[in-house]
Amino acid sequence: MTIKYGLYVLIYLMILIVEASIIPFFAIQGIAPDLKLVFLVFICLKESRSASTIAGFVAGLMQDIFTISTLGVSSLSKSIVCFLTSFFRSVSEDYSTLFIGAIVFLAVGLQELIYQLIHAVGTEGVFFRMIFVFIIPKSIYTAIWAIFIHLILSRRLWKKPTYT
Amino acid sequence: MQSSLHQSSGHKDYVVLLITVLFSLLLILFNKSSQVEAIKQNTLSIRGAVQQRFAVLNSYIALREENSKLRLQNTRLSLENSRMRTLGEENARLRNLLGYRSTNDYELIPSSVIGAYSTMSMNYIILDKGEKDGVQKDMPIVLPEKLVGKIYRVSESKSMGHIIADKNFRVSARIMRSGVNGILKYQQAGNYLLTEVPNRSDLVPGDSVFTSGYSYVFPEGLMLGTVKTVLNKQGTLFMDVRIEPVVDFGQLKEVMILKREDLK
Repeated sequence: MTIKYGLYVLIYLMILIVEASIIPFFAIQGIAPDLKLVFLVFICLKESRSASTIAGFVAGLMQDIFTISTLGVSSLSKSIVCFLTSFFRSVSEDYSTLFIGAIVFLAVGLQELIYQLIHAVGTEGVFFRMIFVFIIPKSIYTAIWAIFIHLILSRRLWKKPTYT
Repeated sequence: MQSSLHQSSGHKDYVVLLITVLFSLLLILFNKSSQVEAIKQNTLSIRGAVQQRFAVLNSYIALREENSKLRLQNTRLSLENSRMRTLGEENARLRNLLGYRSTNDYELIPSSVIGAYSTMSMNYIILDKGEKDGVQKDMPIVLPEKLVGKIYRVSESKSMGHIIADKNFRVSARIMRSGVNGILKYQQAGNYLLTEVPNRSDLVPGDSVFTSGYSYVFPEGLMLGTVKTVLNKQGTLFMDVRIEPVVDFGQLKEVMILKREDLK
């Protein structure tokens, strides 16, 4: 069990490195896919709700530490998103590619909404622009990446575990 | 029995969520503590080192395009240079006559942008120069004649710069044509505002906006952008002025840090 969680942390660190180095090359109009959240969705569909929430918290904390973001904002948004995403864990035995895309779309959208709303406190008149110019495009772009990742990697990796 | 176990597990999930949310809120409250700042300063070195390795790849891809642009720019600048030299000499002579101190007494630290972090509201760049190169917090980051941002955090060999496209960034600005002053700030989602401009001030779209010099951080005369739209708002004392930035923040590769001794 410890090895598994250690592996999760290691993979997440690798994703942070990839996002800081290679992923900016794939940004379209400044919008880059959020691979961290794709991985967190993967964890949420595999692990218990509590474990997913803690994973979201730790992942958000790591992100906050490595970026300019206010410490605690990503951990808050990712904890909530992972908690809610884990509700989809028992929906299906074998998650379809479309299902993964839809879940990632919702997770990124909600995560960005919470994150941006906290940072937008005191700023007037940007709510709709924020949703249409940034949040929806980012959610769609990340969902497309998630679909490709799901198609490339073995579907067995995403399969719901037999224990509940 | 099974139902009671399931219920207890459900409660546990909500307790875990509550704890993580409360802990996150506590972190937000104590975000400005010196311990947090120290941790972030250390992680800047790690992040900078990783991004520096990949910045080479970025440079290689952009090299050909940049080369042709630079060749063109070089020809144009050579012509401009001779004209500027004459004007500079004349300016120095006139300043000397009036007893003005030179405004260009800054040492420049050339620096490469090795990484960037961008969200809708917060944007910063990571530079390959740090404390050992003489970089200090609050030093202005510039391109020729244009303001990019200022140094926000410094580690031994890297630094992090706030750019204008960050909602926490403010700079005192002036419309050169009319002398109207205001505060330039970024308002998320690509909106730049010139605030604190009284209604019916002399402003028209296309006016150039520069730093005003009313600051210990930014020198006067660095270009910020041009006025995009002007709106007199009823019921308020101030105008709604939107600005088009002059710097393409997505294309930053090489910048310069203005080394200001007086920032010590």
